[in-house]
This record gives sequence, C-alpha cells and structure tokens, in this order.
Amino acid sequence: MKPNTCTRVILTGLLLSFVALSSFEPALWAQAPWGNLSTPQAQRNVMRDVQGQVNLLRNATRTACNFASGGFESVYQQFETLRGLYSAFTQTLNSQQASRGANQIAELAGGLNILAEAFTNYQDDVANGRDLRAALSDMCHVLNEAAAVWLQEFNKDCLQLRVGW
Amino acid sequence: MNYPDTFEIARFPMPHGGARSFVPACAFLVALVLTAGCASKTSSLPPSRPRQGMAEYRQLTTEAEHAMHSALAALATVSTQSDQCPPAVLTAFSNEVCRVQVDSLRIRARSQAMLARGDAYFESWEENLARIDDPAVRSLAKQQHQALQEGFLKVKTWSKEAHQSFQPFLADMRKVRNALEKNPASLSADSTRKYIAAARTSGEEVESSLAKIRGEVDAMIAMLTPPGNTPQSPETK
Repeated sequence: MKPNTCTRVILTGLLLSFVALSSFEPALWAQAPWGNLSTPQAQRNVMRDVQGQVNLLRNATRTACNFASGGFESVYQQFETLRGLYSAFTQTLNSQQASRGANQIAELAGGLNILAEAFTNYQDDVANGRDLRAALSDMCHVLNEAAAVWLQEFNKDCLQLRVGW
Repeated sequence: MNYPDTFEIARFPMPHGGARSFVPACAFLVALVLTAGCASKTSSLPPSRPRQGMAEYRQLTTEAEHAMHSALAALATVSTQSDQCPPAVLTAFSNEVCRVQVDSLRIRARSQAMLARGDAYFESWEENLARIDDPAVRSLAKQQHQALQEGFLKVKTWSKEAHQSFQPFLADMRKVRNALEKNPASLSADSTRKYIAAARTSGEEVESSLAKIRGEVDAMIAMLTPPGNTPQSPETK
C-alpha cells in the first residue's frame, strides 16, 4: 500500500468510526466532558430506565413479604437503584429543560425523600417491638402505592418538559 | 518512508468531486456530528400551561385535607372505644395510617421543593406564568407581582408549619397503631391515651395549616383572574 493511500484509509476509518460511535451510542454525549450534549435518544433511554425501575421497585414490594428474610433489603436495593437512575436522568436534561423544570425536578427529588421515609418508619417500628411481618407489609404497601403516584408525576413532568422529543 | 504532510492530504484523488472536496467533506461531517446533540426539539418547550398552576396546588391541598380528615376520623373512632379496640376498628385505623402517607405525598413533595429552593421556586413559577398564552393573565401576573410574592411567602411559611406538624402526627399515629396491635386492651393505658391526644393535636395543626394554604391559593387564583371571569387557574384555560 502506498503511503498516501495508507494515510487516507486511516483518516477515513477514524472519521467513520467517529460517526458510527456517535450515531449508535448517544449516551456518550450525555457524559461528554465539555458539557451536557444529551440527545433525545439518550434522554428516552434514561427515562425508560427510571420508569422500568419504578416497576421493579413495585414488584419487589409485592413479593418482599413472601421471603423468610431479605425482603427489606431487596426493596431497599431497588429503591436506591431508582434514586441513582433518577439522578442520572436529571443529568441528561438540557439547560432549557433543567431551567423550566427546576421546580418539578425538586418536587420529584422531594418525592423520593418522602418515599425513603417508609424505610425509616419500618426501622423505628421494628426497634419499638412491632411484629416484623406487619411492619414490612405496611412499608411495602405504602411504597407500592407511593411509587405509583411518583411515577405518574414523573411521566407528567417528562411530557411537559418534552423529555426525549 | 515518505508520508504526505497535512497539506498533501488535500491532493488525494477522490472518486467523486476530486481531491479538493475531501477536507471540506470531513469538516462538514465532523461539524454535523458535533452539533447533532444540540439539534433537539426541546429547544421550543410549550409556551403556556405552566405545570406549577395554582389550580393543581389547590387540588393537592384539598386531597391532603381529605386524607387528614379521614385519618383524624379513624383516630376518633379508636379513641371512643371502651377498654378494648375491636380488630375491625384497628384494621381500619391501620389502613388510614398508610393511606395518609400516600395521599399526602404530592403536597409534601411540593412543600419540600418550596423549602429547598426558596425564592428560586417562586421565580421559576413566575417565569412560567410569564409564558402563558393569555395576554390578560400575563398582564395581571406582572401587575400583581408584589402581592403574588407575598402570597407565596405565606404559602411557604404554612407549608413549613404543616410539614413540621405532620412528622409528629404520623409518628404518634404509628405509636397508637403499634400499641394496639401489641395489645388491643392497651387503649385505656395512659401511654396510648397520651399518643392519641398528641396525634389529634398535631393533626389539627396540619389541618389548620392546609386550610390557610388553600385560602391563600384561592386569593392568588383570584389575583390572576381577569375581571368578569370566573376565578380559575390560568393553567386550566
């Protein structure tokens, strides 16, 4: 191969790799070190992750009472994952969405804090001698319904802020 | 080995367009890729219907008031039992303790956001109001800026009060439930009676704060209603 042909092939290859990478992995844009250049596809991906995680959390609350042990831990783990995904979701919002939706974002974060209170209430109840199964059942009942309310708000806010459009 | 220098790349023969089109084509593709993330349709968010509408806030307040009313009614039913709390009454009370936590979620989340963001919360709300389609409402929002801001401060203060009373209310409700679950005959015990009284007091404080919030929100809705129109939130238009 001639040197000039070789350079041309390398340059073209690099260029095509760059184009292909940016087309098929939009999440990379959300993590770009030069700022938030999240694409609609990246927003949709994280939005669906959050929605899916709420469903996983709700499933965990429905099955936790069937376990002899580890029910609390499994629900708590799902909740923490949801928190992490919601945090990742807020990072994908562009500046306009983040600015206009600042109150909604704060409300959704507040909602997660309130959901977390169910875990503290469970621990307090158990520490005060309440039956474990009754405490877990109530915690799961509250979390299951509260997570559904939170998801409704999340979906409404995503629609209003045109997340993923 | 002789490699072409940077300028020589422009002279590479290309199948279409010749050597001179290679560099501009590369530059165009790179520019296209770099700006792809910026070409989102979110650059034009809807100009009207700000979510932070007063009507929605009023609705949340009313829902929370109903939830508090039901919870306090269940507490009253428990407290009127003679020595022992029947299982059905205890189950209904326990359900109300769960229900009030869920039904108050949205207003508590809003209160937390208001307290966390402070003045920025009102500023965001007012900015959204300024984007409303109806020019009459936009004009009223501008004219009533001072009054709306004062109203918001009152709502924030009462939200804080409601939040501060809700925590002990819920804690005492849970203590009553836990005590009766352990021993339904503990209804006449001094400690249970103390928890019932404390829950009633803090619950009534929450109700009072919610009523004040609703009153102020109604006043703010009226401020944003053009003369001759039925008071309603701009958002509902």
